Amino acid sequence: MPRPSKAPVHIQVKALSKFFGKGAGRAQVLRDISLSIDAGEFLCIVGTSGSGKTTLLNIMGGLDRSFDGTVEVGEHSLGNLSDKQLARLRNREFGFVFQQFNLLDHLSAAENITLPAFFGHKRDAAHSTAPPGERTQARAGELLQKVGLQDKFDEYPPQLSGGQKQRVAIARALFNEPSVLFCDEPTGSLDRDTGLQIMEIFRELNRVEKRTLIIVTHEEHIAQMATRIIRLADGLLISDQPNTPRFPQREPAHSAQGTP
Amino acid sequence: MNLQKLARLVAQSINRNRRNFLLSSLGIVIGISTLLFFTALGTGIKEVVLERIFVVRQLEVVPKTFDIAGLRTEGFFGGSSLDNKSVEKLKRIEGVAEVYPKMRLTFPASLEGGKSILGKNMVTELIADGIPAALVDEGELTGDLAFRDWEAPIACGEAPDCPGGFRCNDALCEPLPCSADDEAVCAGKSYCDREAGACTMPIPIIASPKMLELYNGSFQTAMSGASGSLSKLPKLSESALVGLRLRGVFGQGFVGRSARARRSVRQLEFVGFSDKAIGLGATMPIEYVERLNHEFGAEKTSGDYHSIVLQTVSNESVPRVARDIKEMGFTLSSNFEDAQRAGLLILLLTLVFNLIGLIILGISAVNIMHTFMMAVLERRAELGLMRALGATRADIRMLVIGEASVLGLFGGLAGVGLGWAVISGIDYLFVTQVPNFPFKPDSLFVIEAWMPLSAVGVAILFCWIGCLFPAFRASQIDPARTMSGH
Repeated sequence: MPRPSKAPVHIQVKALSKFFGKGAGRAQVLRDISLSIDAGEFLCIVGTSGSGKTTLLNIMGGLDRSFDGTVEVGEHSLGNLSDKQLARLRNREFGFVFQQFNLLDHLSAAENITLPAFFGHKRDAAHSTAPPGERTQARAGELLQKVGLQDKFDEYPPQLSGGQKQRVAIARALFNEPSVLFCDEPTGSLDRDTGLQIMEIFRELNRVEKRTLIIVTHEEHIAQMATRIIRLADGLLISDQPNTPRFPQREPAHSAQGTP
Repeated sequence: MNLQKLARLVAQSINRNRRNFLLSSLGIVIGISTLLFFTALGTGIKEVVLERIFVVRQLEVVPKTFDIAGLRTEGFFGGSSLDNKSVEKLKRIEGVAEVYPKMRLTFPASLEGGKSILGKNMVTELIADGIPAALVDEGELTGDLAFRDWEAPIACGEAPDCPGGFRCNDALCEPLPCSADDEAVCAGKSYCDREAGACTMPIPIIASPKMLELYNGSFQTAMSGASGSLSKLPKLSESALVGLRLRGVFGQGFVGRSARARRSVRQLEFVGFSDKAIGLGATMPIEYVERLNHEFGAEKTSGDYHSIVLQTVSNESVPRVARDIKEMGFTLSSNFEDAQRAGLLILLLTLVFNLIGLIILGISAVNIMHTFMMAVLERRAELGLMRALGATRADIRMLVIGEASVLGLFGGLAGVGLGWAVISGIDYLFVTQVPNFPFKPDSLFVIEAWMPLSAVGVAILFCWIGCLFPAFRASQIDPARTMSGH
């Protein structure tokens, strides 16, 4: 089903700082970070555990509203948006993929994928790229096909492998045709080969569909697939450099066994 | 999030947590069934007491009395009598729908008959009063003979339309002459009054349904141990009594006779039951009583009413009408105060028992709060994910409140069902196992349409109360922390 593309979204982060805790236990996890992400970029944020990379991702994705500085996504300044406006932005413009997949076990793969449809706003429905009501099932089927799980429509998460779960999560993230995909350690719970398969999906989404990809990872070989790598250490942005993507070969034995 | 989407999410959530929801709803079911049970019981008992024993919408004005050394007197020491002027004054009170004066027979009289249904004729002192015939609805009475003054002139046209035993003469029905030898000329309902030498219609009389209750519930039971035929007195129904012809002896009772005139024998026909009839005795159209009192009663009181009954437009207007009556210097019969006391007692009992239901519901609300808090904690990741996918805080609150509403709705419906089942069971046992007693109702309970509706509403309300805090907590879940696995 062809979908009209959305306007490219540019992300601008200026002097971003973030603190956790209060009083004596107050800790700064992001320190005066500024960066600009163009529409269609494939960016990896790399850092050790506790470097602040997930916090940065959450703030840019509108999941965390408590920060100092400004984060602008397209024409919106996230700090100035109401809860409703921010929720709408997350629903319409952003897709999220998490390390633990975050699928609901009591829903089938198709039902998990259509979950964002529940929170679509009435105003969006008129000019939505996402299908309304009864068409959501067809959309779920289409997305499952895109991630190579067309035969798993009615399967429940406990019946799926880790790689399959992450594919369902990616399909869910794509439900509303987001401009930006925020991925927090998307391969962190997968073996190397399955992780590479997931990364191939991401690469295609970036290359063919021109979606902006922001991936948080601590795995260097994953980071090397991006066109730009940002490195954080102790809340500081220590490096922001373009990268020539390198995709390692998957082990032939694994790839021959079908979809993990 | 629109209602349809919310309903689907709620359905998914309830389907997943069936056991928790079932356990949470138990308290609601028990509380609502208790509430319905006692409300229906209170209403049922109130109906019996205030609509059958004390008719609360009827206020009875009696002459002002004065007690001297234990003796009650009226009129002379500051008391007052009731007459047509009193009727006119009382009619003008706002909230009064009908006013009907009652006049008692003021001379000795007796009544004889009943062989056809009791097996032998019974003789009893006749206590009777009269009320305007128009105040008895025709639909109330089932007898063939109309409750009216048959001695008043009856107009007739060219075609004879007079009752049997009468003929049309100068546009009025006049009785045919008769004697012991030709009683057959008195056709239809009429009989030959040998004293008058003419066909006469019997005096129509009515009785209070309470009398039938008293007879069946007490007298007949008490007589079952009597010697002779009295032990075989049957239970009576309204239909068995209607049409019964009795012999009334006016001016002569068991304990004395009229000082003014010799006794006179008349036939009386029982035409039906009405709440407007005297509690113990017979009631006839007031014109008969006026004429009989004039003929047999004490001269100075023959035109006085012994009471005036006021029918109010509604139960709510009773207190105001009662106040106005007192302000006008009239006295209300003690029945009114008895009814007020009984009504208050029933109300208090109903409230106490309903309080038990409400306490159960309150405990249920606490239980629901606990269950929902646990559910919110268990579902932090799910709710956080929803937030990440575009749910607003309000969406999350509505989701939890929606789940509580469904719990309240189904808990309420189940509670109504359980309450109804218990009511039906107890009612069945009451009707079939409890012996008859005066005023024994057909059902102990009255379930009005508002009761189950309100019960379900109360169930939902308590579920809302229980879920408000968990809903708030759920809406405060930080999606960033939950999605990062914290």
